[in-house]
Amino acid sequence: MVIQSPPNRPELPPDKNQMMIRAATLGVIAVVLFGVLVFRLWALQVLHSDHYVAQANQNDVRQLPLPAPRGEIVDSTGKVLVKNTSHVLAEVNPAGLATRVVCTTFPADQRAKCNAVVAATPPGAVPRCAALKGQTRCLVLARLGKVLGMKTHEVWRAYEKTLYVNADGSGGCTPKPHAPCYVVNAGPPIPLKPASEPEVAYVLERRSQFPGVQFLQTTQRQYPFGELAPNVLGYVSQISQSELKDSNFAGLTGGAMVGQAGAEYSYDRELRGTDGLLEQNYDATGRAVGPTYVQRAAQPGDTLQLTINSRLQKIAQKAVAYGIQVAHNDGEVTAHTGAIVAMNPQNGQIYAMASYPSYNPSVFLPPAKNASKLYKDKYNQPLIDKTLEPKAPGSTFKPITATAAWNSGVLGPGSTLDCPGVFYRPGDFSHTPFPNWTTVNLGTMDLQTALEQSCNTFFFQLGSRMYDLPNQGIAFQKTIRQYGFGKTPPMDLPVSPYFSGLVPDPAWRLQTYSKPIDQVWQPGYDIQMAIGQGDLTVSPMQLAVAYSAIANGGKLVTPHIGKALLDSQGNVIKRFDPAPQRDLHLSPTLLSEIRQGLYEASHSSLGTSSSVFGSYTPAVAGKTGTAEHPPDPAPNAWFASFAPADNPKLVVVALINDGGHGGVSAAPAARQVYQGFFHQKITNTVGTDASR
Amino acid sequence: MRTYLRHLDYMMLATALAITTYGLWILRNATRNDIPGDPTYYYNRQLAYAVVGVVGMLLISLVPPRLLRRINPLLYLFVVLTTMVVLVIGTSVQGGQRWINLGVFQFQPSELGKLLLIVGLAAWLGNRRNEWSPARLTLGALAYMALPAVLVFAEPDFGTALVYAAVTLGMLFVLGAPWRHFAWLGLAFVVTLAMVFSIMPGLGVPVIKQYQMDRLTAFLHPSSSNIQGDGYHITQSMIAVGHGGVGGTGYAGATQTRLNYLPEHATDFIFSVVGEERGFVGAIWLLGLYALLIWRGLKVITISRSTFGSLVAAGIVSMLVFQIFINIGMTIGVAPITGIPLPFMSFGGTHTITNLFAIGVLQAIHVDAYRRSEPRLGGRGPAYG
Repeated sequence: MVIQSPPNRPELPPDKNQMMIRAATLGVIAVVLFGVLVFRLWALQVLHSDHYVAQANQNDVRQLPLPAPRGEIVDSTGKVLVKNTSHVLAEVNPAGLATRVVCTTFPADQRAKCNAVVAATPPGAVPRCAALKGQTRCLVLARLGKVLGMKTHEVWRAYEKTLYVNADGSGGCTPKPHAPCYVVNAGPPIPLKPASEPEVAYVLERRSQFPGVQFLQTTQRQYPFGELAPNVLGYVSQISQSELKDSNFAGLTGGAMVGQAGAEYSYDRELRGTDGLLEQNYDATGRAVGPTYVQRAAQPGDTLQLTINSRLQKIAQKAVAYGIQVAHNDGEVTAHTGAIVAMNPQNGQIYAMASYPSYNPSVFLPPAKNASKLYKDKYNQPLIDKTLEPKAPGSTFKPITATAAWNSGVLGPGSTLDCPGVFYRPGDFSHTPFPNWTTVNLGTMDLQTALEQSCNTFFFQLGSRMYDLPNQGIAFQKTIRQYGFGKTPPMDLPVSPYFSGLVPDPAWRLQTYSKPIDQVWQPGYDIQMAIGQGDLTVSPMQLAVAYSAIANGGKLVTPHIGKALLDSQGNVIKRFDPAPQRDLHLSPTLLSEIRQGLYEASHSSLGTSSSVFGSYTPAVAGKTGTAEHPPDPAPNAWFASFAPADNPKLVVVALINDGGHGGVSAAPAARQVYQGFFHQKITNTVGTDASR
Repeated sequence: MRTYLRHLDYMMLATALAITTYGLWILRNATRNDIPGDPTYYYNRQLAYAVVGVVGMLLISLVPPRLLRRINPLLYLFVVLTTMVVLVIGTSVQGGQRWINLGVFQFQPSELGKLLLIVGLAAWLGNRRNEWSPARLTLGALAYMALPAVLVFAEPDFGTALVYAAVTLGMLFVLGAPWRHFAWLGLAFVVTLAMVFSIMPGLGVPVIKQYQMDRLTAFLHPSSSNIQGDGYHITQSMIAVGHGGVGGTGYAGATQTRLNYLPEHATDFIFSVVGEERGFVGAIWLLGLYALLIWRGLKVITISRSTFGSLVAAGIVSMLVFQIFINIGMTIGVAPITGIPLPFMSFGGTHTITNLFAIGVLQAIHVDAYRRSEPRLGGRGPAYG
């Protein structure tokens, strides 16, 4: 025994008084201690409970945005062009996967390799799956890939590509043989691929084999018409860092899905709706527990109705392709892109806006694998909307020149000018020739005939005379600008500032060129501009707006694609009817001469598009354009027109880039759009070469 | 037998059973999600322990106290030996080597040691009470306690070592040790604290492990501690208790417990579960039951026929008061985290059984006090005869 124990003695009665006192004191101590506990509990649970309730809620409830269903986009007749499909996205949450490699779990023969690879890995990172296949994370991903029908290396890459770091821990590594990348297994869930119902069920039944794998119910845009009008519709993707500063997206936070182009961008606020709020309980390890519940319902976005008519749009897109084909048959083998704008000349509603080549906007849906092909196609540049891209307009510009000449007094009622084979500017000692399309002198003619026969020398004289006006013909540019050129059309589509088109003038020349000789505004520039050549560029859209003014009596309409906002029942919430930009105050005499000239141009025996429209009803008034644009050898083929000539309901501008003569390839394309608009059978017509 | 049945303290019995039942109910809710697929894992085991404990309690209440008194060297030997065995072959859980694996049961000698030390020390003191000077008795008692306490401390189980010390002090107090002894002990305590926490580590001699140090001091500054580190337990526990408010959240609303934010909610932090699920009302109800039990224990001190009995009762009462205060205090931030369980509530085999046995010992003394018409200290019952 450690301590000696004395023998048991007779039990002694305790000292009762002292023990009573001491026991009572013990009781008092207990009461005091209990009192401390009670007061503390009172403070925690009664006085300051709110504080702790708030903390407890913060602990376990996380709020998630409940994405509002984005509004649909329908065409002018109510056909759905863009809708939403609901689908389930398979995601992998890095938090659910191991962030360390345990080599002891590897098969014996791979342990040495594992140790070597892990030793070479910077701290905080793990090797790439491709570098060390046996990692638990890689096995899980490979398993998931098998379920989702992805190749193993695909699923590894899809998961790891955003997590790559260099050996020094800096981000943005691209795996190369000599610069190995590592993976920092952290961050928000990584979306892999939409998953089907059986795939989801398979994974959920085997939860333990798929740590970190989760499924997200999302909606995605769907395009029932495929390649129809992607330039108008635009697409949707996650908001980028720079877009967070865009006023169009004010109030949004990272992760939001926003319109990136077209109507999706310009009507984003209306289509977007208001996100709701979901709440979800999480346990201390970050696992979601129980069902989510809706704290605030999402406010779905409005339906956007476009002025675009899907039927006419389809016809227009095919018509551009047809125009290109005609150009090819005519020997213009480099013709490859083109555009058609079909617009209501009275109010600026755009019925069709075809840019060729087209594409299916669904390529931008995640994972957007094929979108890069569109960016890489530098020859066709399908992502550039050809209806908005400015080019030299050629002869289609002549009515605008006529207006400028009229406004500046160079041209008046009944004015006639000679139409020689070549124009030499009086007093030009260099004797620079400005040739017509034919060397034959076509004689004296009025504006109407000059338009009909597209006499270049007639308009050269106008340009030359306007140059001689005070301020070197600045009145010419003024009228051109009044028509809306040189400035991006004020429309409800995002238009690149680079697509304002150029109206060259002395100030521009001075600013753009450095050599004094180049900085001087020469008469030739005005002379060239008079026939839509030189540095002047206009987009098909701008030209369509200008021709609308001619067609409607001088109102410069505001082109637009938004017709109305509809609620979910299809009731109109708001109509878009933008006021005209301005009244050009065109002289009725001038207007009737231009209109008559355009009518003759497509009907008289010497007209430039009579072979296409001569017998077409209702009568189309239209001007061809064959615009040189060096260094390309082939001119751009234009056709700008309206119909019916006496009561215009439709303006059509067609452009076949490198398509040769406007009357050959562009006019037949425009004709198909008219046939579509007037509900006629679409026919293929080939224009004859009118050489202008 | 009739005497026995007549003289059982039924109020004490009912109170102990009520707390045990309350504990089982709370535990069942608290651990429903802990073992996936087995919502009653902890509950089933605790229920078995409680049944064993209650049966043992009733059996022990039949044993005459003098028998316990007689075997006190054996009890002491048992405590010392089993604690040594643990140090050699024990099972470790979370940094503490405290258990002996008995196959179906993980036996924790230091828990049973609390009761055995009380009984042993009561006999040891009772036998020497009239022969030794008070100073010698006090020093002797401290030495008697020190051996098992040091062994337990080495496991390391700082909390249980503290319980041993508290029990010894309580018994010396009731025995009538002079106040100045407690003053000296208080001084020694302060000096020890200074040594353990500041002087010795400063000299490069760590007396307690860093995790113990962190846990012990975290309650003084829970919010300044790393939320996931030492302050985490206290912070989450206080949130749970405060979350309960006056009426409690009920099972479904007890997110701190249910979603596992509250650590150790089956064992050391079960009071936080009471606080969250049952609120202030439930917590006060539990404290009331404890108060009732302690009152009955104090009564046993006073009615015991022998010094031994009084000292045993004093030890048990001290053990209960100390453990209740430190455990509940730690869940609400007024006492350090020491790993002391809450009597009758915390999950744990040896712990539950020991506490119920302790009630059995109290009952035995209570019955014994009425069994013979010998003079007793006081209280109700037969008059001096």
